[in-house]
Amino acid sequence: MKILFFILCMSITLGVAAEIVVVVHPSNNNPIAQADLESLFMVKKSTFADGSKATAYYLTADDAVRNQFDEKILGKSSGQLKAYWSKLVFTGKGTPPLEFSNSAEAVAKVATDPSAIAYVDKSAVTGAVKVAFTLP
Amino acid sequence: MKIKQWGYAVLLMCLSSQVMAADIKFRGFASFVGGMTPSSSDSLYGYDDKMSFRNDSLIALQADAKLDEKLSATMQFMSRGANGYEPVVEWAYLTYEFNDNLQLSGGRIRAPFYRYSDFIDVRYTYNWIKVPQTVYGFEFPGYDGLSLVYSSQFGGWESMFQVIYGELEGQLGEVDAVIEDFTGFSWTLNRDWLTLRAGYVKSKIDLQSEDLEALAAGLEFTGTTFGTNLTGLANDVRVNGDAGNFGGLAIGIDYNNVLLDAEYIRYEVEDSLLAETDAYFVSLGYRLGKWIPLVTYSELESEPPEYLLGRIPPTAAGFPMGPGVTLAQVVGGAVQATRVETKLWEAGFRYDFHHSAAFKLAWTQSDDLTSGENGLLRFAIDLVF
Repeated sequence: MKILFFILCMSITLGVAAEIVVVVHPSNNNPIAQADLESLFMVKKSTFADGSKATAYYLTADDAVRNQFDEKILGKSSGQLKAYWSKLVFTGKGTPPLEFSNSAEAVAKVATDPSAIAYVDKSAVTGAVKVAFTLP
Repeated sequence: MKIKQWGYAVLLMCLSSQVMAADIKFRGFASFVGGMTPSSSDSLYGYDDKMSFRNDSLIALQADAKLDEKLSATMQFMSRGANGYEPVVEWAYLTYEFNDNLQLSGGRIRAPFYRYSDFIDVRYTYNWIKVPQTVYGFEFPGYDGLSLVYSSQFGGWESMFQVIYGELEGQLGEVDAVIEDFTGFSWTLNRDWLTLRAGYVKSKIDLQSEDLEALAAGLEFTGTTFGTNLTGLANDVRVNGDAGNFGGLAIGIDYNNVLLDAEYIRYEVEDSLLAETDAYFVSLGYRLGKWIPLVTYSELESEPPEYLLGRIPPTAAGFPMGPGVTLAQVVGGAVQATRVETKLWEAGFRYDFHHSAAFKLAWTQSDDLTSGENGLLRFAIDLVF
């Protein structure tokens, strides 16, 4: 029984590579392609396709969703991303996005901010936000 | 001084929390570095054979006040172990963002001489313990003036073009300096795994160097004694409003975990007893997850300003300027003394033990024309917060 329980736990922790989605405010009708994600989340662009303001939000650096997003979409380890932002911050050339400590908080923010865009764990998505992109 | 500067920081914090509604963020970075040479006969960058933790350690705190979407103010306090951790304001400027592409800053700003100039002290952002001192040995504080940065994207390339203008009154190394008409640009292009950079700065330089002044005054005195005006020659020795220029080229490659960095620089100050200097480094590393081993080779060479010998009036060359030495010999000796040749090897690694902190270890071997061969072992813990 104990062994079964152990195997069950293992399969939960190992098997659940979280499904990640990018969410925006329900009023945001801009198409979002994978190529847009890189420039929006590296804040090389701060507007959506229709010219309206875009505000990207991160999860904290120890979050598993964030680590997957950083590696798959931004092509950087969390250390490399930290270095990227440090170069901009300490030379006055940019400000990193605010970070939320979990997906639920990010979803709550996106629900109230028409300019917001955030990557979250799919299980945290509610009807108050719109899924704009699902990570492959 | 210390109290006054921390006073400003406290004032800024109080303003942020009570009076203004501005959004203020505090961020910082720190490096704790220890090092020692292998024997008492080795000495490099202020280290000897006793472990020292002071020379290269530093901590900095930056306050960013965002007044609105477009206007912000930034101040960076730096405490260096080498200065007994006395805090100094290294950056203090206002920035106006016209749009995503264009921003103008005014205040005290770091001069963009090198590829790594802007974040030279944020050592977490690169893989050496410090940038190679042959190329980056030309120390320079911030200038007071303007910086215009234009960022754009075209055909898969990202471009950042910066133009600067300003002046500086401060110290270059140990020497008091006044630098005017400080004008320059830097251009960085980036595409996937490739980064290219070019920079150029020129200015009018005045250096209050005691050594140069002693020689110049000696020449003038000798001229007066023998009834010849040598003020022209003396002024060619002095750095008094002379034109200085600095240029640099750099390449960075980060391809399939292979990291290649190279940079070449050249600078000179015309009509002065300062050597024309060329330096470069090439660094090769490999990213193995959180580990990056890397090796670096670097060379610096300066060419003595021998043209000064041709400016000695023929009648004055034989004037005695000391016991058994002629004026031409004194000037010739001073010219040759500016010759510098340094070769540098460095091998080490970086290990990211935390998402905001890295451990580094490196062995540096310097072979210098005047000081000979010297080794140095250093470790560092770099972090950003």
